[in-house]
Amino acid sequence: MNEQIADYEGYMDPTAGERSSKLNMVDIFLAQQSRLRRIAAGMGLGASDVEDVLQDVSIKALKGPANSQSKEQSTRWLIRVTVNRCLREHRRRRTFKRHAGEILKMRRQGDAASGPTAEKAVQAEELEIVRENLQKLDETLLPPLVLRYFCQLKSNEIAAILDLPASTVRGRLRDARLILAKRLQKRGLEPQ
Amino acid sequence: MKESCDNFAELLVDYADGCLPAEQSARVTDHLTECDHCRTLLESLQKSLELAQVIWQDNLSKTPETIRIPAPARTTQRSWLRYVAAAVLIVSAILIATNMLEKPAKHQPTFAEIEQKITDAGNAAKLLAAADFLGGYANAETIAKQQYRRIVETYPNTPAADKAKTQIE
Repeated sequence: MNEQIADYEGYMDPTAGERSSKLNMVDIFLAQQSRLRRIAAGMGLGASDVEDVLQDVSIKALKGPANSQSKEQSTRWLIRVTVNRCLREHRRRRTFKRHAGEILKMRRQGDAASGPTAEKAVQAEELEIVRENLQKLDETLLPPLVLRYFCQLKSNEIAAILDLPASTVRGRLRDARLILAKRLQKRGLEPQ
Repeated sequence: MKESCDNFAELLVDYADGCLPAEQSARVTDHLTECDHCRTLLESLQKSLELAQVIWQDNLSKTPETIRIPAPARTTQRSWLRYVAAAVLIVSAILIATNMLEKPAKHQPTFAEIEQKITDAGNAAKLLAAADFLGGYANAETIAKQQYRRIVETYPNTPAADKAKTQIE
């Protein structure tokens, strides 16, 4: 987690670009690897697919972008390549494969102090609804959602990465959030 | 007057994220006190995000922490091999071209040449038959020999010319 925060701090530092422009792309890839892994996992890819995606991105990093860039531009480029590569996998096969029951079972194994069984059952049903809807979420909505709420990037940073206006990103974030929330409501499973 | 919930749906997302300006935030808070539907939607917004976080975190926990990336040295070796392969191809192409220049291709007769040969052989054969016929008469022996010579001179590369030569000798 600390490593993750350090990554973000590096990314958001406005003077970082001036200090360290045109660094080796492979070094940047290695420094950003945990964030790229987080993005791929957030996009719902399985373990082997995450590995494949990161391998491909590392090869692209070795070849490098067409023109030399600053650290910030290179980082954005790597994230964009990762998102696009993940979307290809997302279109090709089902993502978010692990069902709610399995997720909760894994969580229980890691957490001895679990709550009452009835509460767990409701949570499993809600979790399954969200999992299914993340799986179905439009490919224009999933990347901003993951970058904002799982990678903690700001809307304007996401806009720069995805090459979109910031207002479009904010609109897509609202749409994605409302879709997930309304589908949770629609099933008659209102939060406790 | 109670405002329409449609006006609040999008504001609720920013409200849940805590990024609404104070004035708008106060308006949403007022609306929430009197609207069950929007209150439930707000709770769903929070709950769905929490559950999405659980799913994302679970997916992340399954992935390998580091991956093996191709060593730059390996790509260097590959490009070196590529140059060697290209060089071998170029040398082979030069050798083949040189070999072709040194050994001129065997002349292949054209259709017209073949046709001419057949015509010559036919003409020579006719003259030979006539000369053989004349040779059978004692008075025409000189004429027959002249005819044989004409065949040898005019149609030298024909089977008839070969036979005519034997008659002259």
